[in-house]
Amino acid sequence: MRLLSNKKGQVRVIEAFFASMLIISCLALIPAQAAPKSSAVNLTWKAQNVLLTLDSDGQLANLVDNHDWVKLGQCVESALPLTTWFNLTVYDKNRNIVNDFPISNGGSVSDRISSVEYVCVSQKSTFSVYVLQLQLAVID
Amino acid sequence: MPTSSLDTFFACTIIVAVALIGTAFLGSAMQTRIASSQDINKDSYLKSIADHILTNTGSPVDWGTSSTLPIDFGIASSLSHSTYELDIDKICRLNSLNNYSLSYFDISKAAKLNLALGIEVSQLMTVNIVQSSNSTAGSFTSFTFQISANINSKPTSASLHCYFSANTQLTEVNTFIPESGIIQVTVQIPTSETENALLIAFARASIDDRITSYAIYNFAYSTQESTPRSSHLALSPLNYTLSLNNTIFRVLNGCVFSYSFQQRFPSLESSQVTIPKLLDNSPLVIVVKGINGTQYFQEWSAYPQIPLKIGANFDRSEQNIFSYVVTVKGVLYRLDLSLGDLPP
Repeated sequence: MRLLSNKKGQVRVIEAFFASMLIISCLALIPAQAAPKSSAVNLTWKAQNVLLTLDSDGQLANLVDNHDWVKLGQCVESALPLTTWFNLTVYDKNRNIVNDFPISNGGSVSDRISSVEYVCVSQKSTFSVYVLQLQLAVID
Repeated sequence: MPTSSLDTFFACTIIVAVALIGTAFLGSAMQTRIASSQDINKDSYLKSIADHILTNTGSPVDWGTSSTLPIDFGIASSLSHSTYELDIDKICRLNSLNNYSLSYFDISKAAKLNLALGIEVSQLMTVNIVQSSNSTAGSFTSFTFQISANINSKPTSASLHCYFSANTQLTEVNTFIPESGIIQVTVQIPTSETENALLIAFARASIDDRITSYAIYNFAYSTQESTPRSSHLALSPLNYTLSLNNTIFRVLNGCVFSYSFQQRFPSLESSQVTIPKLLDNSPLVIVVKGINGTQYFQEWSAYPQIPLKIGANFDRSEQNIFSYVVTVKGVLYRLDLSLGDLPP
């Protein structure tokens, strides 16, 4: 009876409980900051290789100049493995989207998307500058 | 014992327990993170090695053009205008069918690597030829072929240029493979010339001129050949020079084919013949005709000698594959560079 009626130390227990919750919630955040998986790193390299090679003779800029989005999508798709999802967005120098419909091979297959930006210049006398953003993902 | 002391004891117990759980949790989380970062470091390291091989000319820079063994291994073109542009002759020397091919030991030594290495190069677009029917009428035989083109197993449209090379005849067919990726091609040639004829098919993808592939169908074996089956003449191209063994067999004539052009060799009397440089974004197919006793034959070789595969087989061992799209003489190819696990 005396123990129940004496409430002097209960605040410390509540305090300890809150402190514990605080520590646990801090720890729970650590895995969320985990480093990217190696497959994501490989995809970034893959995207760079594809854009650099396809544009080696100005082909990508040429297709963008002609607004040939279907061919542009097919070009990128042909250079990527079958299981790789891609989404290509073309921006002009003012960061306005140039392609009027999505250049993609379907819906994303993973939340882990790698993105690479590549600047290419038109070979026409206008020398228009385009920024190509290529996003890649593979099934986890 | 006073109640406050008991409560303080409980509070301390909770804090200590949470601290212990937290430490264990943090330890495992950090372990995962360290392992993940080690994987990324390994991938970055291996990827840098792969990139170095593909973007470096090696030493001497023109080791591809002669029988010289490279001191430093790199297969980029010394006249490269862009990244991932490879040297046609360095690629040829990776093919075991070439007279001056490098062995795996040579490559490993020049690459100065203490890990397994493998290189596989293939055409970006696959062309398949299947004979669907044939019929003879009089002195002529008609052959019907089903020719298909696909990229990554997906049917694709392409322009098709076929050469039917027989003993005395050369017939050409130009057509277009539709979106379905399949077309039927019929050719009529004299029955007397069908025995050792070759069908050389070049397909150029509609989406990009640089995606040009070839395929060979050998009438003698009624099958498609990805690598030459006959080796009477040991055809071996390097540095735009064709080496051939014409001491045993009599060589009649020869021709170089590309997607758009074909040109006969002026003479094949020497064992080293200059290969004409055709201005075309296309692999070259070299066909030489000869006689073995009374038996007429045709032998072919591609320049660059692709497809090829060299290096370790990675059987039951770790294989890190880095896949690239590369350019060789204006034509796009797929290159898979495999590296083994890092030594402990």
